[in-house]
Amino acid sequence: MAFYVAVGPRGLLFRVGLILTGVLGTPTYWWASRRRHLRERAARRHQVLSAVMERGRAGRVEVAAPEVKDSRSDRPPSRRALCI
Amino acid sequence: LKITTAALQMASEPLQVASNLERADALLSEAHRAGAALALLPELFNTGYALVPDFTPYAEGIDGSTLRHLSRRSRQWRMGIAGGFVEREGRHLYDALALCLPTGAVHIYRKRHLVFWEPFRFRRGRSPLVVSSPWGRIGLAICADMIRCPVWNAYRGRIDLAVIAAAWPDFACRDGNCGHWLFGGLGTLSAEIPAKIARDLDVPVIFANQCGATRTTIPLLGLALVQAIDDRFAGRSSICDGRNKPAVIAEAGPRLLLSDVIVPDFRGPRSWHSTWPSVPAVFCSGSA
Repeated sequence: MAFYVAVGPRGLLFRVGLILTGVLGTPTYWWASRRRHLRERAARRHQVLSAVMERGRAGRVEVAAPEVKDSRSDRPPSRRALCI
Repeated sequence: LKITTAALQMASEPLQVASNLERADALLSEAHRAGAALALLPELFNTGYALVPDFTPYAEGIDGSTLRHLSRRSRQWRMGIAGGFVEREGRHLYDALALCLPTGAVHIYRKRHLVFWEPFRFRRGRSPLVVSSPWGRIGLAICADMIRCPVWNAYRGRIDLAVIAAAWPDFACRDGNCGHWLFGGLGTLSAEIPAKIARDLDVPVIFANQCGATRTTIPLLGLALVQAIDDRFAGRSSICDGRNKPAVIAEAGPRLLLSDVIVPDFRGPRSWHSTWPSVPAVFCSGSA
């Protein structure tokens, strides 16, 4: 991919650095995001199970919505992100 | 169309979101008093640009505290405000730039060219973003995006104004002026590239950079090496008015840079939605 300005021989080193950080960084990121997903899912499951335990197996479970940082997905349709 | 624009050059403390937001607010208030129609904050101005173990607690959706605040200020002061933050969508984090418009609309651009430690913490954005605004079509970019040809080739002829939020390092000693033996020349590019873009695309370019010491590390190598590098952010925020007049470039340190720019060939907003091309834009009407 071309640079917008001439960076001389540093450009080669920069490219090598980008490839290296890309190769090392991408799996690290994906691993971290997967762990984040699993951790949050486990937390939600734990919340539900705790509620079940409290109310008894036969009781109806009414669990408050878990606190999720991203609020896009649970916004009402009129305010949902519009991708164009 | 002649508008007053502001580039807010500030130093952010890593992970001190509240105090960084307060600092940005003071500069925004100053920009508002000076009559700015469009103000730009640097990349990751609220969390600071530093490799931290986990950005998750500081990542925000469109209803996060940072965007709510910027959007409120935008509507209150009838001023467009753009600023970098860590965006979260689902399980993914992005190095993002939000543009809040006085109508309450918030458009989000995600950085596409991740460098240094960024691929370890963020997911890459996919598309460019052009936002139709009262001041014409605005093209958004973040820091290392601006060094890539395809970014500006994609925007050429399709934008009336470009905004670039950055945390561009100086590759120099913090206390002195001695540049790094190899990368020392790259720091000055932070002022040269926006000026070149303005000339090439013949559009005004607003560039806001962080200043102050860097507190980043190189992944897997730890902090010791970084202390040896001892770098700082380049500052040199600038406002370049295409071919109309020379670029206005900020000195070192936190400051508000103000300049009038002339938006060429202004045809008015065609739509409040993002236009070209298919972009992961977020249009949120009066959500904050």
